[in-house]
Formats: sequence, C-alpha cells, structure tokens
Amino acid sequence: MSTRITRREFLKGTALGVSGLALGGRVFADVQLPKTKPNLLFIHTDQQHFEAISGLGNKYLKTPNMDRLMKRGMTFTQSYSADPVCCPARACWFTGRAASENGVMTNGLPLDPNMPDLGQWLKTRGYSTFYTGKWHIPRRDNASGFTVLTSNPSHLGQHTDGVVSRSAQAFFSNYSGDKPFFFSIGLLQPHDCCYWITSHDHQKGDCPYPSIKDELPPLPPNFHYNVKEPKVLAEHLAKLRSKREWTDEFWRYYIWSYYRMVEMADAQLGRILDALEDSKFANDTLIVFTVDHGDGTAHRKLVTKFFTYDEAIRVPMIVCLPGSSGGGRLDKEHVVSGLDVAPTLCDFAGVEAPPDIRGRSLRPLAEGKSKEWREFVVSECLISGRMLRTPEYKLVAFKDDPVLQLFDMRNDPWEMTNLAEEARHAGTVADLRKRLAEWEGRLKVNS
Amino acid sequence: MLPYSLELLSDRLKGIHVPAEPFDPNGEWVHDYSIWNSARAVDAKSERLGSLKIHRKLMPNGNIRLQVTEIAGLAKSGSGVMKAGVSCKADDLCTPIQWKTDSDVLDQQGKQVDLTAISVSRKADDLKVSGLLSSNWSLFDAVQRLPFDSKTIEFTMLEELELVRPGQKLSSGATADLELGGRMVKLHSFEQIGRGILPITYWLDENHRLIIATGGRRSYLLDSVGGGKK
Repeated sequence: MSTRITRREFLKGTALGVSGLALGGRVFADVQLPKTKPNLLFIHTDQQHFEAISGLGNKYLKTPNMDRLMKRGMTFTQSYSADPVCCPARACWFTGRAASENGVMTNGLPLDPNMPDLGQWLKTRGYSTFYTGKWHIPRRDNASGFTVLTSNPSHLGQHTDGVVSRSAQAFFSNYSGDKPFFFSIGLLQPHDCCYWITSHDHQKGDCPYPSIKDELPPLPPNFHYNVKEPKVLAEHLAKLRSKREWTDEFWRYYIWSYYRMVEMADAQLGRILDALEDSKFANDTLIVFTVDHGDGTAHRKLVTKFFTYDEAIRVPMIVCLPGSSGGGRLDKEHVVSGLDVAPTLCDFAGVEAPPDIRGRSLRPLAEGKSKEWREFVVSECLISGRMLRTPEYKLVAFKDDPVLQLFDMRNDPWEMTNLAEEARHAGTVADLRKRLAEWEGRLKVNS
Repeated sequence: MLPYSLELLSDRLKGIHVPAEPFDPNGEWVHDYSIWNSARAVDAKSERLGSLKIHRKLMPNGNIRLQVTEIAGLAKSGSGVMKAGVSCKADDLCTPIQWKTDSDVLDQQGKQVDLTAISVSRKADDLKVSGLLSSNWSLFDAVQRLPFDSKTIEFTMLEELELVRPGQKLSSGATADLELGGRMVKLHSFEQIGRGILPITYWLDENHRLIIATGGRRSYLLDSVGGGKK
C-alpha cells in the first residue's frame, strides 16, 4: 500500500483540463504502477447514456465528478454493453462470458451456477472482496464472493444511492486489512428514469414547470427516423413506444429530468472519490467506471433499453490507473466491451482471468503501451439478436430474420441509414456476417 | 384535479393527518415524516421507504440547532441510518454553520454492518461555496418561516450536508384545497428547482406547517408533530 497523499496533492497530479484530452492511441512514457498489487475499485451506474457526461461536451448537465475521472484516466468513447439490459450486462461484467454462455440472456434468468464471478475469483487469489449497491444477477448471492455492505438496497436510486455511497465512504475510512481489496460499487441512478417514465405514460400536455422551458435540451437529431429493422427489434420498439404520445416539449422535459438523475449519480460518485482521495488508498487503487446500458433519451422517440441502437447499447467506460499519471486521454478509436471488465481487473491484479473469457484486458490501451487491438466487439440483445461493431461499421442481425442492419458509424453516427441492402455494401455485410459466425462458433453455450 | 406534484401521491393524501392546532415555526418543534415512494395507481402502489425526524431547538446565541435522524429502509437488507446535529443561522434558508453526521448500515436484525460506520464533522466555511447556502434538512425549517409570497431565492444546497447541489432556486408556488385526513385543508407551496434534483414541492398548511415535501419518486409526508404550539 502506498503512503497517504492529500486531496490537494492528488488533484494537483490530475489537474489536466478537458481541453487537454488527446485522441486515443497516443503512447505516453511515464506510467508507473505500484510494484505491489493495486486495489481494484469498480464503480458502475445504471442506464446512463454514453453522452450524459459534461466532460464529453454535453452542456445540458453538469457531472463534475465523472469529469474528474476523465481527467484522471482513459475514456473509451466506443464502449459497448455486452447486452443492453441490467441483469445480462452485469452477468457479463462479473463472468467475462457472453450472456448466451453465462445463461443471463434477459432479466431474471439465472446465472450458470458453475461459472465463477469476479468476487469468487479474486477472493481466492489474494484479494479481499467487497460489494455495495446494485448487484442484480439472478440466483447468484453476491455474498458467495464478496463481503457485502449493502446489496440491491432498493429499486429507487434516489432513495438509497446515498446509503450506498456513504457505505463506500465508510469503507475507505475503516478498511485495514493486509490484503489489497476489490471493491465493487453499484449506483442505481439514473435508472429511476424507468419509474419517471411509467409515471408519465399517457401523459398529455407540455412541461409542467414554465420556469425551465428555456433550459430544456433540444430533441436529438434522430428523434424522427425511418430505418428498416429486424422483426423482433421492430416489434419490441413499437411496444416501447406504444404507451406514450408525448408532445415534443414533454420529450424535452423527459431529457431534462433524465439529466438531473445523472447528476444525482454524479454527486454520489463525488462522495466516493472524495473518500478514496482522502484515504490511504488514494495512490494505489485502479478505478474502472462504466455503465450496464444506456437509455433511449428521446432518440427515435424511445426510452429505456433492450435495443441495439447506440442510445441503449453504447456506454461510458473510464479506466484510471493507480496514482495520478497518464490521465485526461480520450480513446475514440478502439472498440471495447463490458466483457473487457473482468480481464482488465484480473490483469491489473496480476492473476489469470477465468477460463474461456471473451473480453480483453484494457490495460495496454489504458497504459498507452499498445495500439494493437481487436477488430470488433459483439454484443447480444433480446436473446436472438447480435450487434457486431468495428471502428467503422455496425452490423445488427437477429436469428432467422433476413432483415439485417448495417450502419456506417463514422459518417452516420445517429444510425439513420441502413446500408445492408445496398449492393455496394454486400461485401462488407458478408465479411461482418462471417466474423460474427466465427465469434458465435467460439462460444460454449450450455443447452 | 390534483396539482402535478401531488398526482403521484393520490393514494396517500387521504391518510395524511393535518393538525388543526396553531403552529409556531419560529419556536421549538419536532416533526416526524414517513418517506414514501410516490407512485400512480397505473404504475404501482406507493410504499413506505423510511422515516425522517427533525427536532428544531433554539440556541442561547440566537442560532438554531437541528437534530435529524433519517432512516432509509433497504429492501431485504435492513436500513441505512444517518443522524446529524446541525447548527444553523436563524435566517431565511436556515443556513448550516457547522455539523456532525453519523452514518451506518444496519442488517435485518438491527446489527451494524462491519465497515459501514462513519462520522463526519465539518464547517460551512471550509466548503468555499459562494452565495447562499442551505441543506435539504434546513429547507424543512426554512420553508415554514418564509412568507407564502416570498421572492425567489437562489442558493447552493448541501444534500446530507455533503453533496453539493449548486444552482438551486426556491420560489413560491401554487395553492390547493385538498381533502386531507377527512377535512378540507388549504395548502400553500414552494417549488425548488436546480441541478442534481428533480423539482421538489413543499406543501404547507395555513399555519405554515410543512405537511408534504415531494420530488421525483421520494415524498416526505407528515406523521406527527410535537412542540411549536402557540
């Protein structure tokens, strides 16, 4: 363990402004990691849209604490949930295996009892493991792998995220074990938007608060869209839309409210980071921050998740190395996945990853030591759907459905034009389908 | 038709007891609130989530002392308890001056969960917050002393005396005549809008007693009162 540094010293070491963020792939020289095993801090929020961070240029909310993490670490902007809904995404984090392998292919399905989770794995490999907050992996008691401070404390982040962050604050003040720790903290916000939405189903009228009408964010560029979709996806999205016929202004009021919930999560994150920085662990703790899935946030007149458009499936991902070196970098090029969480944490811990893990360690990218990287990531969705994402393209395919989607993500980031049926892209589609088939062929799916 | 901020509480309103007795918000008082998950009938039934007790005391130096206990019930796993002793100015926002908070997590048997206890002592002067300052608990006192037609106040709020929420505005709001606890009651409101919160509406009776504070899915409904009688 390192000696304690003061918060002022810490901030001085990380005080690189957002304007100083550089493009990914830049190799920097002076990353010095502790010689002993670092502590591992895994912080996750729930249902946070990939652009809902002020440090990424979003001027409709303020997230000073997520911005702090950005200034301290490497932010991966092309980061994808392994399966854009709560239970599957989380099971993928903690097993490193695809949802179709670990069994949690949708909310409520049980995790394969024979598959170790990160708590169990690291606990038997030299780490003390702790958990507080949302867990939400069915039929897996996190007490089997973690010392639990709070677990699934409620379905309302507004009510219990404060308890979760206070328990984390207390942990950093009280932990005196001689082993390094792996501490996973699950904040629930901005997931409360789900209840905001159901409370306003069938709502008529405009924003009920006249004083904020000038502050309402604009509608997204793909609020209206017309894209051919696979049947399962189209039917699911139609169902998502069926309950609300909000006015344009009310949609904007939803976005405004959603951003306030992101700010709630950010404030709790601030308490956690303050406590870490004021503790003796400030200088030897790796931080991984990510989100299980995004939220529709009015894109395509959609809310919530369970779909393959970026609004739901793309998520923030920030890796902060122990200590204060090498921060403030933005990686816009490499595609990364929630499946990368487990191998990343194991890599920094200096232990082998669980068997048949599907992700890759982000350590070489976070340390700026490598530009070599995978060509694509695959995410699963709605059980029969797959999304394959390269730095350039996104292919979406559902089992036994002839309708494919191909998007040119560099020139069409809002996914407004499906290129799959254009003859000039037939080769690209065939190539990506081949890669997807190869990826699926490697999975060990338990019947 | 219910005001927007009370629509989510429609199934709870008739159960609220509003004391008929006079109330002196400038005196000493104790208010007990239940914390409810606000829900519409089409959504889910509301559920009790926890409790808040605030005891306001007058200090010899003219300041106010708030003794606060807030308990957040945790599904299947006990509760999160936070206690605070706060010295505040007797000004419009009950500005916190210095405080001590104690927080821990209790399991289902009421036993403290290891590693979760922490005490924090701070002074407002250490925070370097510009402009006016209040706290979420101070506001339960402040709104009771503000005139119903008060001008908008801009301030920074400390939630749980720690989480900084700048850019808050507190404004007088609508009135409503509602049947509460079997009798018609005229309620006056203040509306709080700002960063990091969903709009909070404070509903007070004509004696300036805070009956309901509701924002997002969390609502504080008055259970009982003590002290403060003229």
